[in-house]
Amino acid sequence: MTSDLWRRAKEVFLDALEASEGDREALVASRTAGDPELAAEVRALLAAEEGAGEFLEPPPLAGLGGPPEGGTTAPGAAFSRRRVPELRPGAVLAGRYEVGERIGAGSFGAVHRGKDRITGEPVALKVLAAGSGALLDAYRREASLLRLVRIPGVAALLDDGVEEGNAWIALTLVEGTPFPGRPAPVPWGTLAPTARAMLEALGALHRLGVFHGDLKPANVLVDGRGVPTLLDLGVARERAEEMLLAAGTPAWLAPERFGGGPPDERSDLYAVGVMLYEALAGRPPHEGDRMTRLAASRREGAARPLGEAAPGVPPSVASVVDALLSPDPARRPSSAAAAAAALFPAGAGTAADPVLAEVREVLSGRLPGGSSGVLGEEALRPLFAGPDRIFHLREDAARELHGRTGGEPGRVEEELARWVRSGLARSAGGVLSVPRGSLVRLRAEREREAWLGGESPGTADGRARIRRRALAAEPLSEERFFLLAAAEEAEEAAREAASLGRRLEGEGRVEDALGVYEEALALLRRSGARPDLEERVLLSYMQTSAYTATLAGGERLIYHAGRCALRTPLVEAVEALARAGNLSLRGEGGRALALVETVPEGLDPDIDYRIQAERWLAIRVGNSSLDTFRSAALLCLRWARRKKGARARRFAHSVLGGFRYREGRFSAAMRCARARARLNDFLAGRAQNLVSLASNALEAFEPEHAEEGLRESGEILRTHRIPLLEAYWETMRRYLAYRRDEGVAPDPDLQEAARTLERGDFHGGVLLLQEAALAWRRGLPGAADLAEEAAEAFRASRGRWGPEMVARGLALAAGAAPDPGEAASLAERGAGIQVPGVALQVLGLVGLLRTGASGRWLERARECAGALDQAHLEVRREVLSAGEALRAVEEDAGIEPLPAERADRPGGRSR
Amino acid sequence: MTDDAPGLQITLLLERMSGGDSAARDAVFERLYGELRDVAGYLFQGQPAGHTLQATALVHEAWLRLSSLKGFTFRNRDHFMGVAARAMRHVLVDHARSRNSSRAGGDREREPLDAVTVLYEERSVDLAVLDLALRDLEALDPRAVRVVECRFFGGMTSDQIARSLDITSRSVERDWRFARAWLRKALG
Repeated sequence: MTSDLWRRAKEVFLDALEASEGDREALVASRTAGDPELAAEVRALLAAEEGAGEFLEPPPLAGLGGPPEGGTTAPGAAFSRRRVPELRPGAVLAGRYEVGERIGAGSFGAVHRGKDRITGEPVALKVLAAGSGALLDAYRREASLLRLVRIPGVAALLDDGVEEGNAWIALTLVEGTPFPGRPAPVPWGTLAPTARAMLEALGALHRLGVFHGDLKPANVLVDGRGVPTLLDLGVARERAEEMLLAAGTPAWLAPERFGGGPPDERSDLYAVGVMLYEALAGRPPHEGDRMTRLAASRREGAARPLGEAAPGVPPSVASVVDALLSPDPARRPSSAAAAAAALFPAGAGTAADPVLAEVREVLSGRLPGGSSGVLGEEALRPLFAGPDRIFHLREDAARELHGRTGGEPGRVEEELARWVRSGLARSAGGVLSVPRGSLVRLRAEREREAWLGGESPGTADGRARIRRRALAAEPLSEERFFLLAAAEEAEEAAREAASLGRRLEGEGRVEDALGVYEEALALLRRSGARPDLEERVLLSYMQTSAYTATLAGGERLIYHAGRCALRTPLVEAVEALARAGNLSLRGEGGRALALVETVPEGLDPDIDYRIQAERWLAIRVGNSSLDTFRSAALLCLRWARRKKGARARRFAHSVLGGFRYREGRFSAAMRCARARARLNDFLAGRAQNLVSLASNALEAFEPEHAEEGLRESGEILRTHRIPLLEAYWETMRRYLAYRRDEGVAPDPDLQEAARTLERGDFHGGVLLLQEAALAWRRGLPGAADLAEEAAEAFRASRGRWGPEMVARGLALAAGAAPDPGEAASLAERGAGIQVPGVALQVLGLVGLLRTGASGRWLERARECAGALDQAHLEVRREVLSAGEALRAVEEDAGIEPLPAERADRPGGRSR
Repeated sequence: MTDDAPGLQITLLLERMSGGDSAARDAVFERLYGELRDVAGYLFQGQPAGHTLQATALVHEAWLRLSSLKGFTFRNRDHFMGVAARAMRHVLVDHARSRNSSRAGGDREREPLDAVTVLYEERSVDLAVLDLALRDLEALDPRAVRVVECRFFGGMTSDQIARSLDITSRSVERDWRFARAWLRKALG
């Protein structure tokens, strides 16, 4: 529910309760007219109120109720009457996953469609029916295997846990139809790419020592493009003795497993054989309505050869499928890779492969004509789509491809075909688009396979050997952490994670650091947890996540705090501070401040520091008066003075800088940023300080310092991937150019990148606003749309803040249709903004509309202009220069413009 | 225990404690512990002796949590009670959770808090589930959650809650009715 809907629902609901019963319905109807959502909400609340009875009344007081049945010694009796809550649509798991409709069910439990509240992404929620210990173990097993398996073509594990005794896992939601994804029989030419991708994914699983164990069409979903995804590793495991006998589904079960044998590579391949046979022939290889008969016919190998059942299938293919179905495991191909090699011999039959044809088309269109030699990274870049800006997708995809193929054309072609077949890449408009998520999975697949060195974490022996590898690996390395995690050494892994993450953060690898913490926390949760270690990792998480100060980043931290096994004061403190941070980001400084004040000091130095930082942020976003600002700054400075060390000094400079900025003393603020950068050993932090230096330098009209800050931070950002910071950097770089009117043009690649930034991100909005201003100055179409997009981004991030008004003002100035009365209300709200430069922007933009709305605030506009640096009134700011804005307001007020040259835009004039 | 106005006395002690007087701190904690036990006694009046013991266990748990809140200062007795109610919520919810997760594993020993938890659950739902709903509500209306904690977990009266949260009794009543309806709806 949105907080706006909630607020109105609360109001109407309470008023309705106070009305007499006869009037109630009329009141609800009139107050919710035209808003069915609100009406439904209020009615549901009233219905809930009506039957509330004793619900939530404090338990038995004197005179009310007696002891529960059985007197003093039978709490168990009361227990058994308790309702075990069922997972039903509308429930929320772990405070994060909203449960939607049920999309599947089996003996193991149910699968529901769900939604991740933090990312907004759809997920699949798989829930095991309560009360089954052995199956619970199988679930845990699936969760830990899947966590290790980050490979293309296998549904990725997102999260897992136990709630109300129900074990659950969250997986990426895969949409598709069961293999082969179309009605059988399917011609081999059509089936080939899907079959190949399935074998590739299976091979990657097998190389990690994981066997599926229940391969069947329902567990291989194929999307509209023929890309298969393996699901449901519910019975994937090595330790057969722990499992139910002959788990798996009979129709696809290898003969040797009917007696209860463990799955292995060969039994998975048998299932592939059955699936291929059915897809190509349109009927299964063995008929048998009863399991015993099926088992018998399988052992005897009585399948009719595929060549007879489906004469159209190429004989080479038919013989491989027949071999896959051989009753003797030793006579099947030895691995998924061997099966793939036999089905798809190099150079043969490939002309019929549409994926390869697609890849070849991209290669011939994008590579220098007739290049047959080895290709460098640079040469591979044009194969891929952007955005280059901020996300560097082209560059990173080319690097990954080069790392895997050495640039050898034949291998490039083969590798790209694999990417397309497994859904990691798709071709569109003559290029291949590879999203960031695919790059992460490709890297994980490559690194993890190498780290494991062929060992499998599926057995106790395997884990012991992995543990030895871990101890031999370099301390504080991702390799060591991963191996410890694979060996299920939760405590050691968590200790490693807490320090490794800080190291990665120091190197500017913020996202990687957060990933390490998240894996460590999941591991601790599963292993029954050491609360002190959980706290330690959580504290590191809190520190590092300060670099991704976004709503989604905050939600992630709140979520992890909420999942901690024990609600220790420290965990509560982290959660409260993260909530406060998000309230600040939404512009609710007052509520944020109230929350910060509930956190006790003295729990931990990191917490103490964060308390100060969040308090300061809450004040800063609160649109508060200069006096409030001053006293808050003094408090923070006093605190910092009492502490020792670089961090406290940095904080002091940050507070002082913020205060100077608010005062309008931008040169001083800039010096504070420089001091902070000097004190910062962490690359990501230093880069942030340097961009902030540039930002202050721009405000101070000292472009040479801005250039310097951008140059230095640009060097750090060139070798690191911190999208948010890079967005901030791009903003400043382009702002500098815009000011100087250096011929910068709108940049569609950058616009695309800005849209790709996390929803609700501030910098995405700033970038879009700049693009809109550029387009508007040049009289290009689309300016109003860009400005509206920017306003949307601001609305999603900081609600009531000034930038949204500037963006909306620009949208109107660029020709968007105003809502009734909008100009007047925009001018009024704009005039109320405390920062004079921003207030003047809004008033100026509204003034351009010539509605008279802005003219009413002439005095405020003059006051704002008077508060600005008089030497630079004609330098462009966010959109307009102060001079342009003031003149627009004056003209709107009906004041005869002073004689001067006309500027390039209506209403604006320059010297 | 001869104070005419224990509430006032504690307020004074609280003030001194905020100033960093450690003797005062000890005195405050002693006194507040007594208060907390009284609350438990009130809540479980008329209950068999076994339940009173269990109520003591609840208070004890809540107390352990509160006393680890180093540096936390309380404005007054009612403010303290509000925080204590919150601590009781967490104790009970954690207990319900650990009970739920170990139940799947088979038999378990009965623990002191079992019966108390059952008493609360008879008036609501599984406490771990209630806690999830409270967290959802927290995002929309944190004050209403405080009211629910004070009233349901802490057994406080509207007037006590009003003083604890520094709002009017009418606001308490309104928040309460809304929160109760909202939670009931959320929990189906």
